[in-house]
Amino acid sequence: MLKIEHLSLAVPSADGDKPAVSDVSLSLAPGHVLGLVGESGCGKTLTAQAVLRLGESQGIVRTSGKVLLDDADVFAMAEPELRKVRGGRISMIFQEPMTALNPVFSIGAQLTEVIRLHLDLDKNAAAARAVKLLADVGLRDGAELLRQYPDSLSGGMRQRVLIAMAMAADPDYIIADEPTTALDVSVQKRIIDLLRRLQEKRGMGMLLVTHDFGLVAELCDEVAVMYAGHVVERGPVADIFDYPAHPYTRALMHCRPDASGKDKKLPAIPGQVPQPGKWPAGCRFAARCPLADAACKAAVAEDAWSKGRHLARCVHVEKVSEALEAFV
Amino acid sequence: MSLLKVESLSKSFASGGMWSGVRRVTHAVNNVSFEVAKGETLAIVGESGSGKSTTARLVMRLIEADQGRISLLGEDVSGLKGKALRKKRRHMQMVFQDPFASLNPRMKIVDSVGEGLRVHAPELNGSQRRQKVTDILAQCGMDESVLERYPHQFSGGQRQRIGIARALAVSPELLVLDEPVSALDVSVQAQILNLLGELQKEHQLAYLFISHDLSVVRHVADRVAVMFAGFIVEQGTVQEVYKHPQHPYTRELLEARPVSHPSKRHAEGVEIVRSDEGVAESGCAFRLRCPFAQADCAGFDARLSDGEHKVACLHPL
Repeated sequence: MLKIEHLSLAVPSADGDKPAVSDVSLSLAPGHVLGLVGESGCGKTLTAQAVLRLGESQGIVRTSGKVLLDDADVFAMAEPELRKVRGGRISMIFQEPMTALNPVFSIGAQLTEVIRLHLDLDKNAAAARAVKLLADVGLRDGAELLRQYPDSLSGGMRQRVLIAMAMAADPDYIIADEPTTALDVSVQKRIIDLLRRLQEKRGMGMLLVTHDFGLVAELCDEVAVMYAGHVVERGPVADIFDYPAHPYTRALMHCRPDASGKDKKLPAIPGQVPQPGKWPAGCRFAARCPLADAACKAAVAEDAWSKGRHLARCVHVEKVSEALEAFV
Repeated sequence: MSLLKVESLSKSFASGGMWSGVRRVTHAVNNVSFEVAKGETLAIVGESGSGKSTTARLVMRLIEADQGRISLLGEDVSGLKGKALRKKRRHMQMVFQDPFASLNPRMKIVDSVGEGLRVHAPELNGSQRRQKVTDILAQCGMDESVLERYPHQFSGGQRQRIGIARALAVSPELLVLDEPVSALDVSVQAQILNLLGELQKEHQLAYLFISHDLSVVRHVADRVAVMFAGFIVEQGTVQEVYKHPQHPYTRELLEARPVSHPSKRHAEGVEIVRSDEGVAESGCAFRLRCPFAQADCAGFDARLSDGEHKVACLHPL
């Protein structure tokens, strides 16, 4: 199991550290896909990166909480142990396939480096494994591809190479941070299919960071919605789609453009996500929420069971459910 | 008479050659024709490299076309230069994907938004211009307090509002919008799409809306042109094209959209990576990726059919 328990993170700024993630708890079982959804600035990437302690070089600090990989706290690990986890047991796919590969090394050099870092293989065996990994991600002519440089590959092919790299050491968990955002729709679709196939075949646990509920619908078993550093709602994917219990989740789903046509107004959410350090006391969504009242400004709701059998951080969970039923 | 009429527009770029001696010519826009009527939205959709943004830039005359004709309000503007062209720009304005890049970081908002008025409405004095800028910003949902501020003080959505206000200041009939909401979060995207809808109704604006996002296009457009490798491969009303796509590429795009609910997940298909981005050099550009391609596609001249719903395909669906 991969578990995040009550994790809080702070980002450095000119006037001291600002809290950016607060009290996030999530768990991911092998073979499951957990989606972490929210708009930019809500802390989802910071949370995902904290699993591998990737933010530390930028001065991001953990202020409380734990990340547990099979009961071992990642934050308590010494550097050599952590290096084995990174890319070994847990690997990562980033958003930008254009910048994640080094332009001056061949695909082969970069791919075999990762393989040999984690597996005890000689050069030839590593190259053979590289070709096999490329075939697994749908790239033919792997041997030829190994000699090529990133600039001769399309965006979709680069993302496939990065996925192959992430698979190099047969990880148990994979963290995919907006893996298809920079890609065209038809390429995006193929990458989604590829990720699902690899994840199912290898029984990996996947943490998918995305702003796109479409991707959540395609890939996830469970969802956690983040807003301004908090997880505001989490539960099984079908439940969240059918009975969104937090007003933010509901609003986010409904403001996507759909088939309603040209003259229909989209139910937009007024205002914008508050920046870290500018969070109000009480519910952080209250300023944009149609249901907000004095109770919301008083205290942050503890996770409450909503009618949809999942967790939502809203004091008016009951009202949201009723409003939704009236709406449906 | 249509507001904007584009006929047989073509543009190619040469690349390479500095070191290797091999010059490659990319046909970015190939024989593209369309019209936009007053108060109407025509969307151009396509993937990166399809030529949709180049088309927008050609229409705005930001780059020169190799061939073709652009008429605005019935007048050929393709040959205009200098002052004459600037005068025509009052009728068409552009909104960019990243409004931060299109606003001068050292200029106050009041000056950025009012800049066009200095050129196109020189009769206004300073306080009249300021009043006009205030009105336009108000229509775009920004109050007076923004006037003396600088672009970096605003969020992406606010900057896009300012970018739209800047374009609207000179009262154009046509806005060319290049991916205007692609860089925005969904909640803000909805605000901007609503704003564009309101402004269109109020001012009878015509939009040429460039986007890669089929859901957004479905929401905003009356008609849609689908581009692939510089060609328009299909064109028609949004209802027709989305319900009955006739070009295999259009269908591929529509089917590639993520599902709206987990219960609608696509059944596991067999994945064949023919190529992520294969473009044929001759004949139908899509034939290397097309599941319905036949031998005669290699000789096809990519001509659009006639009628309301046009398609450039020998074997339409």
